Amino acid sequence: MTTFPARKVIEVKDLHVHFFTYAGVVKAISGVSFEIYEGETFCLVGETGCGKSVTSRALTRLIESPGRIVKGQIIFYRDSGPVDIMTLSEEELREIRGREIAYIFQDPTASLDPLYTVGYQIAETMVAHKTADWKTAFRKAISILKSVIMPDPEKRVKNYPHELSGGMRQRVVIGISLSNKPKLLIADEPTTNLDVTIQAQILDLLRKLKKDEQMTLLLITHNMGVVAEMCTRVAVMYAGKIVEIGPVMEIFKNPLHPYTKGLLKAVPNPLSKIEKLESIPGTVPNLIYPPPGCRFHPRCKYMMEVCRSKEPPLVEVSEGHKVACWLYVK
Amino acid sequence: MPLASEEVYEKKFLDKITDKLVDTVAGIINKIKPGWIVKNKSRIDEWKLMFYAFNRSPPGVIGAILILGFILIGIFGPYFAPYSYREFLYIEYGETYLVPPGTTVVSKGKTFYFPLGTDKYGRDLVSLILYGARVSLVVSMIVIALGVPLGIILGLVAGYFGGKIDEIIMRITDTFLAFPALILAIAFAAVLPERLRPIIIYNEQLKTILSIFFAADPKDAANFAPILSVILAIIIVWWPGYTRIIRGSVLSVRENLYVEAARALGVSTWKILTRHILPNVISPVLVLITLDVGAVILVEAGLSFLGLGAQDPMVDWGKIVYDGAQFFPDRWWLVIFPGLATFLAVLGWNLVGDTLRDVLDPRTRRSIEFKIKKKKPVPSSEEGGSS
Amino acid sequence: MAGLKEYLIRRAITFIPTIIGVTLIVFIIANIIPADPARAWAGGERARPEIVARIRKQYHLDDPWYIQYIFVMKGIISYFTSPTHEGAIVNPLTSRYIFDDIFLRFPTTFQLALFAEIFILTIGIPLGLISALKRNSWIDTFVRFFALTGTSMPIFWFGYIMMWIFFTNLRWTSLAGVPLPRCYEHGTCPVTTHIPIFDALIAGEFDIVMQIIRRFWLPGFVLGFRAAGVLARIVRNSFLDALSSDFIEFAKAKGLPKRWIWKHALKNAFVPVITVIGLQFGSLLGGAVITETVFGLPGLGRYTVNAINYLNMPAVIGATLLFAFIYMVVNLVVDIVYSAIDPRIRY
Repeated sequence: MTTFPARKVIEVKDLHVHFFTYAGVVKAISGVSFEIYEGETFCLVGETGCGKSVTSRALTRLIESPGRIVKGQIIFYRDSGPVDIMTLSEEELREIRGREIAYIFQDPTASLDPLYTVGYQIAETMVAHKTADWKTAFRKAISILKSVIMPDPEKRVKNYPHELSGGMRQRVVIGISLSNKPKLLIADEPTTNLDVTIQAQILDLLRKLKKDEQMTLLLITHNMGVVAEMCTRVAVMYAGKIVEIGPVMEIFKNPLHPYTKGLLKAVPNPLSKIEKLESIPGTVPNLIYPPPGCRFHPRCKYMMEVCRSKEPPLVEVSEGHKVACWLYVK
Repeated sequence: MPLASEEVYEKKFLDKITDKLVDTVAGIINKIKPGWIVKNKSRIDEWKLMFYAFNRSPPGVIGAILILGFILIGIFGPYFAPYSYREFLYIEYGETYLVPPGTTVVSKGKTFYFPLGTDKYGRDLVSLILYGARVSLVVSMIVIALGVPLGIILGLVAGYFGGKIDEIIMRITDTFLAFPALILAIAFAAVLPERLRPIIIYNEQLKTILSIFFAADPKDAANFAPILSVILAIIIVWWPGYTRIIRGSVLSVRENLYVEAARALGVSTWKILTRHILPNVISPVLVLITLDVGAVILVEAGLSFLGLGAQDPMVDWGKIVYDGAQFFPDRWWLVIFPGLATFLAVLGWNLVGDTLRDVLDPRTRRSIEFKIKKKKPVPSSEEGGSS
Repeated sequence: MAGLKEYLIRRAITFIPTIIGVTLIVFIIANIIPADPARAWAGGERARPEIVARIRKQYHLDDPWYIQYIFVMKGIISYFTSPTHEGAIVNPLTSRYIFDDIFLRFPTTFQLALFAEIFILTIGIPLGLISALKRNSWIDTFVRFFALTGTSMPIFWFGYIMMWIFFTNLRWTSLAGVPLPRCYEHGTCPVTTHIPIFDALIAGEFDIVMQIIRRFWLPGFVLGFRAAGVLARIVRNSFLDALSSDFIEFAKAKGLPKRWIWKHALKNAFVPVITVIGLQFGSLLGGAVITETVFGLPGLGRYTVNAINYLNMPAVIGATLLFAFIYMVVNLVVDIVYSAIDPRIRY
């Protein structure tokens, strides 16, 4: 629940990201706008390929060729005042990354350099941002490992990534991200690659650390269960656009967009008898030649004539609850 | 990857040729195993697609032409040679019999034209190079045909069965690999002829077969031994490389569940090896084999250059240089032309191998494929149509 | 260094059975010949029977193969264990210890390989890095072309062409003999590594150093040319793979400075590259034989080929063993460096 007055941490305005591939121009993100407020856990939810990972990378301009941010503003509210990320130089951007905005990616094994000890990789984040010198940084690495509940931290700090289990590696990655006490932590599917039991532990850890460090968390996932457990507000993405956004309880109780309804129905309730598994018919559209009008219309059972030709705007239906669907436009 | 509508691809002239090639091969297989074409339609389409990708690469096509030239000249060259390699013309030119390229000489009432010059015995260099092509072709083909399967089989056995068998095979392989390859080849190529010579001379059938292979006069049978030794020497040096690579691949493929499933179903070991493991380890090796043909040609030329391969009066490209190096640089043609021939032959194989590597790598192949598709727009049937 | 020492010990231990296997193979090679070498050594057709008999006795040629094997092995080892080379095996043709002959020629081959390797590393690695950074540009295509033509050229062809350009026309190189430091003659060298170029450098005889360079640079270039092209391609691909790894993306997300990111990428890229450098050394040694023949260098390669032509089996054994030994040592060094860099393979 948001508390008044709520301060914004980051605000995205009309973001467009295109990938210029040999097959054509992929419009990965077309006109995405949202804000994240201090202290909340904001979730970005959607199928694979909907653009949620790209959005998260775009926030610090981590998009590599052949991708490019072609339009939009990203306002980051630093302690020293708001700044548009799109206007910053490489060096200024580098200062923000890993320090004020930090990341956790899906595959912890892929995030760690196999040739260096985990202690080194934690320490180098601090030294790179001048929050400590090497000696202090190595000492701090041990206490960071303690804070992510790594068993036997004094020994583990000298281990190489391949000597640790998947769950331990993800703890290391979390430790690296938090070492400089960032304002915003972006976690891109942090538990998808882990065992279910470890998943729960990592999510608990994230929740605890968020409270201890007073961070804001942007969580990206395709798992509605994780959303229900962790998030305060959620945005549902489809084919590079936000189709619904609002407080978690509200969305779960009262989903408006047909896609959101489909997503929620697709997760079977283990307590009730089910005749058939619900699924959304059709497949994700080709983003090189996206469908005109509402991008969901080929799969929507409420489709109307206007949906085929004109894109629905994002309208506010109730307090903080917005949806992009012609059904709700007067 | 369905070739649903043929209009999707803009085909070039070359593509039609390779299409016919694939269809002919498929037709032959179909005669042996009826119904094969129907069962493997998608695989046939995949092959055609790979050829399209290959045809789009100019170096690849040039390489293929060079290889074709090498093979054709190797097979038919000796029959079209103006002179036999045994024709020592001994045309006097200055103080020697060495005639420079492009010269016409009149001797004993006849006119001779030597486009590439002659060697120290007055033999026409064009003919020598044609005969040399045959030797290079035969040697490289036999080495690859025998050495590569040997290495692959040993690698399969070592990797799949593990344990003591693996230990023994790998120990032997590692011992051979501890030698610099050319050194070991030189050693074997030098000592084997003495052993092989009596075997060849006293075996009429062998003599006839070899003289057909080498396009040589059976009178020169004694000289088949060094060439055969070169073949054996290179095989000995070549198989360990393949064993090691295949064994490594087998070790990782073996752990896959489908192998365990096949075993649980009671599939025979032989079937597991050929149907499940072999196809999965073979593709990086295909590129290697293509590149290796070129490498073998170079090793063979190197051994001849050191005096270990063909002996007088037989020739191959390295031997021509061995004889002619003493006259360099005045009589440059004896080094330059055979060397050029070797270079072009090897270059062909290298170009094809390199292009094959790009074609077989799924990442690079996709970018080529889309270039083929892009030329004609996809006939759109629905909004947001995907292909 | 977790487990590094244990790994090295294990690696060194496997060295021994391989060396024994190597000597066995060499011995087998030497004994393939059915012909009677004793006669050839004694002078061929005109050899006196008593001399032939004496040679047979001395080299145990009438004894079963395992006795011969032990005799040869003892002869080789005792060259090194006894300061006066007591009991060491002797070259039947020159009546000198074979290892004397071999070590006389070893420095030439060593210098040739040294120059070649210098070319390979100084051409191959920078070209590879540049073509990785400027991928698909004209430099990248040029390096690819360079690698392809380099591996297609027979060494002797390339060598003679280069010789024509740089010797016949430009005189930038010399083809005469092998320059040696003056202090060898006078016995006044401060330090003897037995490698002429090092000794000349240490003794300050820079004119000799220049002469050695003039003599060796072209054969070294010819020998190293093809490997340089191949190495450039491998460096390029390895570096590109490393740069597009996920941990590099994470390193950028961490806000590491560009140089630090490159350090990570380079270290990871380097790992497969050193293996290749070690393997290439083998073909370097083999190619040295051809290069020495083309450029008239009195090295180990030519010695081996000559020995073979004279059926001088002890010399062949000694020389082949030395080649194999050098190659094995180089690969051992490569493995050590590899395991020092990559902690994953220490098991």
